[in-house]
Amino acid sequence: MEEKLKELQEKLQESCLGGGLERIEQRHQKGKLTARERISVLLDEGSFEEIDMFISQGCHGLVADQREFLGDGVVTGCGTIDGRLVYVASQDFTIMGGSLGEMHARRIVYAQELALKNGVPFIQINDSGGARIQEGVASLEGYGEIFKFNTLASGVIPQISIILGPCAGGAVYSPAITDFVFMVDQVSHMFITGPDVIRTVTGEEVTFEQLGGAAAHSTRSGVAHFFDQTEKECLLKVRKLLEYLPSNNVEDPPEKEVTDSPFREDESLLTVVPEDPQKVFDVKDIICSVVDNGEFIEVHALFAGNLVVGFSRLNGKVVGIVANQPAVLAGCLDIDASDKGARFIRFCDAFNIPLVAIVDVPGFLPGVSQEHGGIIRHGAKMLFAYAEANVPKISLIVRKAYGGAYVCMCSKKLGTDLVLAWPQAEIAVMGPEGAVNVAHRREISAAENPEKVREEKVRQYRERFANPYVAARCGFVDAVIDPRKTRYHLIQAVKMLHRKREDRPRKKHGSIPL
Amino acid sequence: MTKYTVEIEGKPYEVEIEGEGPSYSVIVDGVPYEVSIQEERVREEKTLHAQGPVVVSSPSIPTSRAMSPGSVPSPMPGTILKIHAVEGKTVSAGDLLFTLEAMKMENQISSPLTGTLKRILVKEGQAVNTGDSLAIIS
Repeated sequence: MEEKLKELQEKLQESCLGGGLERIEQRHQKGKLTARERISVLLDEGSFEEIDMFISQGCHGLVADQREFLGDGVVTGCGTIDGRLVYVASQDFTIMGGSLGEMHARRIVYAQELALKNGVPFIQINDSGGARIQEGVASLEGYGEIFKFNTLASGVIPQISIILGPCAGGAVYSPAITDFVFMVDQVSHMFITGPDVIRTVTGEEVTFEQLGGAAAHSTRSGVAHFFDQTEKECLLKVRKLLEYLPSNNVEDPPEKEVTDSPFREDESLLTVVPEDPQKVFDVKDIICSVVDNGEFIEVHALFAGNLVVGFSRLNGKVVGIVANQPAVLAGCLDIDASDKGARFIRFCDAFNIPLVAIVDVPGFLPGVSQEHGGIIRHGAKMLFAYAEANVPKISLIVRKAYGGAYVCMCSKKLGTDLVLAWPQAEIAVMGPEGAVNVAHRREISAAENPEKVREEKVRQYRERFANPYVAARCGFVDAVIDPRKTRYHLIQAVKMLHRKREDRPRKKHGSIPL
Repeated sequence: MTKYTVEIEGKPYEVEIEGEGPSYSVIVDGVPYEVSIQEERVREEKTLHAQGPVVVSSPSIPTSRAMSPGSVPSPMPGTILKIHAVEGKTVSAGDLLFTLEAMKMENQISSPLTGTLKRILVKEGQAVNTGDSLAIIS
């Protein structure tokens, strides 16, 4: 028996060492953590339980000269984050560059399966050279199975991808399907075809970092949702994000003890929106003023800044915030903002997170590139996502709500349950100047003093249309509130809707205009 | 800086070229490009488009990093209401450069990077489109 125990010990140790001490040392010198070290930063101390430690390509018998690696280049198992169970898979670059072979994939898929069966989040840490060439098509099928499980689990359990190394070719599609992608500056790289291939085919010169670095994907492509400077900060931010997410789609998001008074008023909200409708402001000032302790975890913070999305709490209850940002692109909706908003709204809807829209939108961004880029198709996603969502939906109109963009930010009839408005809200088909130019063009041009007539018409228009009371009379605005008491009113709104049930016609799924 | 007027298929282009190979800053009708010449490609392209200039690059990427010299693109279509910066002066990332009136709003356009404001390519009152270069910083 002693012999047997010794053998077990040796094998366990072999598996834990991955590609060997030398390679681990090389990684440390580069300032990188190993697959297991990353797991230990991510999970609660000592909570990790590893599974399938002995999985290996050797199960099929080894070809001559082939070295066997127990674990096959990935570490999987479960553990807890703030005491809540999660499953993880962390690729080990020290074993054959973290390349994905058949058994490597099988190990990941089994962790996915267990996460799904248990209804808990699945977190993957990607650090891999790609498909294992020696294993041929079997490794490609491995990807296929991972993608399938990602897709089946989508909307059932939260799935998070942390890219801490290369993630290239087909491998990128697993993170792309998951709900949130985290990337680290100078560490993470994602692309379908690398700089070398691009140079040969199109002649474009581009570095790894410019092409697929964290900055590129956080600011331009929108592939990454979170950007960090170091691996540790990134892993800790994943823990932070999970504080806002339920474990699965039948649970409510975790509540937190409230230390911020629901009655707290804020005088600054009287002046945060400039009186001059041409002046811009930062919508995050409003968000941080009204939510619990000013805590807001922003998703896609560097991408499509004209729409701000993220999670906060109102009196302990998690809400998803979707807000126009007047400080960027005047707060217009455009292609990227629509995609960003739609994805976030659908995530919140899938995971029982009430939606709060903060509206100050002058319209859609004009331009040929927007039209030909398909703003009709993309804007439709946002409308579709909002109309389809049956979680509690609350809108707060703080200034402009014009035209189709107003509907897109979830107007009453699109399905908002409660619409609140500040007294300076202007809800109309278009802004006063534009409307007057269309409706009174002849009258103005025929006048002796056109400017004076125009000004008068604009004043009349403001009085008649550009205020919250017209919409409130029609029941499209449910309450006009004192801005100082916004926090209280939003908390009440969430409370009023917390038992909301709204059934949808039975169907396999809708056909969102993708 | 050398200026050329290049005619391609009957259409004239104003081209300004600066730098001593293999990298050049090229401004074609106000749009800046960073160009690096690769010997072999140049030959290929020359035979293909004998009459045109050889540009082996795409317009500058407006990220805050790895841009020198960099251009400040207009984020949206609108009118330059006010220019807050002076040519030749140093600017820091985040400094206010322009006020752009668009969508009946006064949008603030700040410098994406720290450097010298080499050129201002627009005038007050000028209409600009998305991506139009407003200034060059190096």
